[in-house]
Amino acid sequence: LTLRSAGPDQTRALGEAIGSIARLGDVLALAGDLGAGKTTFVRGLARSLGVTDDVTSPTFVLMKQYQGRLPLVHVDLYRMNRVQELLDLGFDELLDGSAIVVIEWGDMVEDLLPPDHIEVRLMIGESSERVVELVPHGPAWAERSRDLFHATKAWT
Amino acid sequence: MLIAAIETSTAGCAVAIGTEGGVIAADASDDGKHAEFLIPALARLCDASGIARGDIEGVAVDIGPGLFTGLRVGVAAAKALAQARSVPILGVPSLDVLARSAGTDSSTVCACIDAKRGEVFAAFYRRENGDVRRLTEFTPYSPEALRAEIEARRDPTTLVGEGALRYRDLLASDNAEFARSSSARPDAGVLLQIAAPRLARGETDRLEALAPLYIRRSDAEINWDRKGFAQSRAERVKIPGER
Repeated sequence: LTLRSAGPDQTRALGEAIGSIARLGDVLALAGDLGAGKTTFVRGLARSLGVTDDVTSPTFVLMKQYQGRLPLVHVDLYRMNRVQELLDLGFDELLDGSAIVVIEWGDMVEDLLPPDHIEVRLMIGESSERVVELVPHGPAWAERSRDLFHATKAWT
Repeated sequence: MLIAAIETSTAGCAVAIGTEGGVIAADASDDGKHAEFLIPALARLCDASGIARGDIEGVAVDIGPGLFTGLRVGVAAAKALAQARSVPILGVPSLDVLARSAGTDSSTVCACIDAKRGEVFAAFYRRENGDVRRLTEFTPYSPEALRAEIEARRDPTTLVGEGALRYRDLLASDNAEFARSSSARPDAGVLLQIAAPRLARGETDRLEALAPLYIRRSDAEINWDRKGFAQSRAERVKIPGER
């Protein structure tokens, strides 16, 4: 699924759209270079989950947890060099279905991700334009592909 | 010897106070708020039993394998208690506690902790003359692999623990039965009964060396080179506030 965003506002709104179909236990792996809009996307996602706290990048704290309509865990691998650092956060237990988990640079640890997850690749285009590729993985997302398609139609 | 026992290897949390002679008082919580429950519960047990904090002569703690977030709280609290009171500490594996509480006639016990991500941590034990001896290493299994292992062993086996109950259907086999569900989580009283005689004999762990048992470890590096932005990250990653 290849989508287009004209700028940060649309990227945030796309995060909201995907948040609107998110369920407990969903895992989103965000890929994309610095400034591509990963944290902006998460802000939208958090808003649609009813998170009222200010969402900032967890680059230096590694992980943040928010309580909204559904609990959201926001992880950033950027400062991590070893897989063990991620496991030391209790990563295995975060994936037990009790929250929605979004992982910035999640494509770096594909082996640790559950079979069902969505990869969100944000690519920098002309000026503020972004190309966003959504890659659903696993049988659960195969079943929900219609939901995903309808939720993101405005960005195609 | 008066021992405080701390159990946090699952979503539950439990404490007990007692001696080699038995448990004096115990309490448990099911809601997963280990940090909030632990220390106030121990204080309540002391007060209710007329025991002064300074009377505690040793600390027993479950070191897993199990729930990472719980173990981190329990082991840290136990170490702080032992250090502050200058008393010995002893770590006991969660599966040893579960196996001891299986309450069964089978000679073989398989203790299982839910390891999340579709796996259990399990070990096999043999009951002999009232004692329970561990036969295997702590190992992560898929339910299918554990069932195959149980069937290959052929012995009548009692499965104990939340990990076994969660995958009851997948683990069911002709030579396996399930322990009664009241023993689904490691019990702080059983932990105390395992640790107290050993502490009384002078067996102890070095405070600075005691750590939770992490079965899933990885020495893999995150491969930042893969997509060719390793260099830009290397330049930026050391500058706080950047990005």
